[in-house]
Amino acid sequence: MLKRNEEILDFLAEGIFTVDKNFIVNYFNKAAERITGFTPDEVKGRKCKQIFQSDLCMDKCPIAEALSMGKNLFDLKSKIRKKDGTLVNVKLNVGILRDENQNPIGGVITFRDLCYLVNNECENFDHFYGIVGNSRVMTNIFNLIQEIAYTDTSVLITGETGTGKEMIANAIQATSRRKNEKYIKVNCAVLPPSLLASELFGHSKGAFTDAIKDRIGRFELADGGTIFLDEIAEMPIQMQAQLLRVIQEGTFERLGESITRKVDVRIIAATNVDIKEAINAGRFREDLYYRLNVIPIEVPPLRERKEDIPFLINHFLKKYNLIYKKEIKKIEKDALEVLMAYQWPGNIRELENVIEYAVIRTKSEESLTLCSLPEFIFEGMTTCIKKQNQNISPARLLQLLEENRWNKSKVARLLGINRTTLWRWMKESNLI
Amino acid sequence: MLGNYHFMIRDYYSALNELEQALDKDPENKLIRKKLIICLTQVGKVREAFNQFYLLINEDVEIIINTRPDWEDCPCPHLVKKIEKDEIPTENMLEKYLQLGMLWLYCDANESVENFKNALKLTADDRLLHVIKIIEPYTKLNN
Repeated sequence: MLKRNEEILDFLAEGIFTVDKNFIVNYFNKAAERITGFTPDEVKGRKCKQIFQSDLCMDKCPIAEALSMGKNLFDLKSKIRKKDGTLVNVKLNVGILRDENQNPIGGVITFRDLCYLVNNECENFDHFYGIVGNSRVMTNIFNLIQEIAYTDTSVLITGETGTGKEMIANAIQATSRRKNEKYIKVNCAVLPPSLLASELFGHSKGAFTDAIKDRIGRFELADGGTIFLDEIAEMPIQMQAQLLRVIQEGTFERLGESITRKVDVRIIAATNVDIKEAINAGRFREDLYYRLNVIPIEVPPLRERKEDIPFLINHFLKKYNLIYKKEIKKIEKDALEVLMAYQWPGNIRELENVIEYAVIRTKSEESLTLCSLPEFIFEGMTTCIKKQNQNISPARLLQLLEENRWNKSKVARLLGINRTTLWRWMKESNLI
Repeated sequence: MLGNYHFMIRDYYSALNELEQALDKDPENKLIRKKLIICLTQVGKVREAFNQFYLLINEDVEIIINTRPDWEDCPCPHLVKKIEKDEIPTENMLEKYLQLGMLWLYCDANESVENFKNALKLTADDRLLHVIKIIEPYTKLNN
């Protein structure tokens, strides 16, 4: 019966592996072998974190999370390392295996390769550790990341929100000497100042009201590896002095404790605020800035690298085709022109949202059309669009009308013209 | 199982908390006790760790001696280096030798005995003599 079960599991397209209560792999199906490149013999008997080195392993192990929460988890996104060392994006589900007395005896993880199609079809354009960019400014950043791969110095990444600062940090870590060591991420803006110190440096039992037990901090957890401090400018000024000491001496004390601890951690920090302004306003220590800013990387806003927009659209099209099970191959020229004209205050994150919205909404099976774009994209562009649409073909006009169920007000709005003009165009095109 | 996870990511405080609960349910479980000893040393409870260590090696010294650090993802080879370089603070020299004696046994019985002998120079605890007597046959095997 066991053999039959294994045959059934080998037939599935989803990768499946199970671990015992020591997190040692004891089952690995054929799809898991195909996705990761490891054979069952290479992984059975080894701890899962040693094999897959997922970004979640050291911080938010899905099995531990499921155990803590007492429920199975679904659709978690992660990256796992394949046998050849490359990373693969996966979406995974997690379940806890229990004995007859409901005691946990292991876990089961099923996973799908999210990147399979994207990676296979994106070979024609450049991307660097998942970052899409062909522009000169991005190529310069990629070159710099490769040049600093053999150093452990601090890096400060600046750029507007949504420009991909975290992806740059990920690429720095993935190319560094510490790529196989722990990589801990902390968003300094998420936690209130009172908790941030405990989160970063840990605390001893009784250090404050809710400190019911000793707790290790993120710096200790990252010992030997890398820590990414996102939104560093939001760190309270008094804690900046402690961070400065960690950078300079590698030492700190847990809250409520007098023992000095030593760590070896590489720091990558990021911010979307003007840090010089924060220094002038007394919100950020100048000495910390110079310690962090050994290697500065400024990620440009999308409006300053518009040549990357077609590549990014292509990338996101493939991603959301996969997720929403569509086969949209391209974007119509007029829709692309609108996206190229837009200023993208929310940068790449905003572009991704727009493409996801358009993929969901488009009725065309082949391409993304103007009508599928969200309306806010057209705000302030009326003149531009009107000019672009002066030479709209009768066939395109008919297509637009049909896509919008002959709702003339809507089509007029999409084209940036009034209803009277639309009526005239329809008449000229023999559509009425 | 959560204790195993925290131990795996070297969060010894959380691991200790979980392992103690697991041990309450299964007091004879040697694999839990084996990890518990390491956790206790790393949260500064060296004497308590030694009490546990003493009980365990009297029952089954091979459960520790037969550890395969690489295979089992055992932290001891890393920890002993840090303790020897004083990168992990210890209260005094006796606690340092006790820690090293216990943790070296997961990797190398010879080193373990050497450290317990150093500890013995600083205290008259008879249990140390007994510990050395239990471990020494394995050092001869190694040689």
